[in-house]
Amino acid sequence: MFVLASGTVEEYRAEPGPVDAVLPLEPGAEPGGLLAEASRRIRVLASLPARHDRDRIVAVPEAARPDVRLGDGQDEILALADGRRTPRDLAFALGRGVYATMLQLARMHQAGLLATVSPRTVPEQAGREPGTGSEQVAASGLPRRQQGLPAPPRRPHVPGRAPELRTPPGLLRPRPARGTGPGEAP
Amino acid sequence: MAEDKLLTEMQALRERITGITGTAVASRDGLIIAEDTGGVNPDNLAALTSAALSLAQRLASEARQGTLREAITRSSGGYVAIYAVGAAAVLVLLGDEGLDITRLHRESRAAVDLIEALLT
Repeated sequence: MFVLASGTVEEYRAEPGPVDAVLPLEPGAEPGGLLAEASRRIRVLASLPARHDRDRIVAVPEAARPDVRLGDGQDEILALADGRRTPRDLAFALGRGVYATMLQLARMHQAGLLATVSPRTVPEQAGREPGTGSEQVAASGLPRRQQGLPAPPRRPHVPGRAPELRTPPGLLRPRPARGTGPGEAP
Repeated sequence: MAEDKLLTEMQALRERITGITGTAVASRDGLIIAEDTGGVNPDNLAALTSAALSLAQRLASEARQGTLREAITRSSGGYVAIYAVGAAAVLVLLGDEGLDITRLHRESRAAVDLIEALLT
């Protein structure tokens, strides 16, 4: 209810009759009580100096952090705050509720442990219209192993590295014609 | 550049669909083309995805259920959704337990078409 109330409902569909609940609540909760609790939570969050609904959260580098003792699962949050996750994503990654996570994030932000990545603006239908984008792209081949040759060596993976594009050989180069490649088997 | 546009589209997909934690595009023979996986080993992902897609397509064909739309693996911690991008590439989406499946179904077809246009 809190997550529904704090976000935007884009569409909904009424399901007549009983609904199969994965985790049924026994006894059930009254809508009035749920709404009151959701309102209270939204009020609490609104009163906080730092509130981040959709921002992506990043840990302040260790050298720039204030010298505070970490506790209460804060180190776990710092490890997960990689600039890719929103408070909602962090809550799922931690296996905790969104509200409790948002409260803790706000406290940690205030303590100088966390910062936000400025949100990217992504147009809903960027490049989707036919006639834009695809024509300007030069013909390119996918990286392929050549017949008779072993697979190209796989790169070692460095865990925790910042996401970046690795340019695979051949993505933007046309594939060499058959029989002209330097390593082609005779 | 095609690769920039590819990565931009992959990141845009993560922005648009709540619950997506990572994306990757690989060739059908299991080599990574572009990745934004957020820590998951992209090379292993590409290799496994290629095999899983072939198997799922064979399964759909054996069951006489037409063209494969997606192959989804649902686990205790989330989802892996695999899409064929034309005949030469694969799109992999990683999602957490709260992945917005409805939105995924609505957005995935257009995303696959766009990625295919960027690759060819």
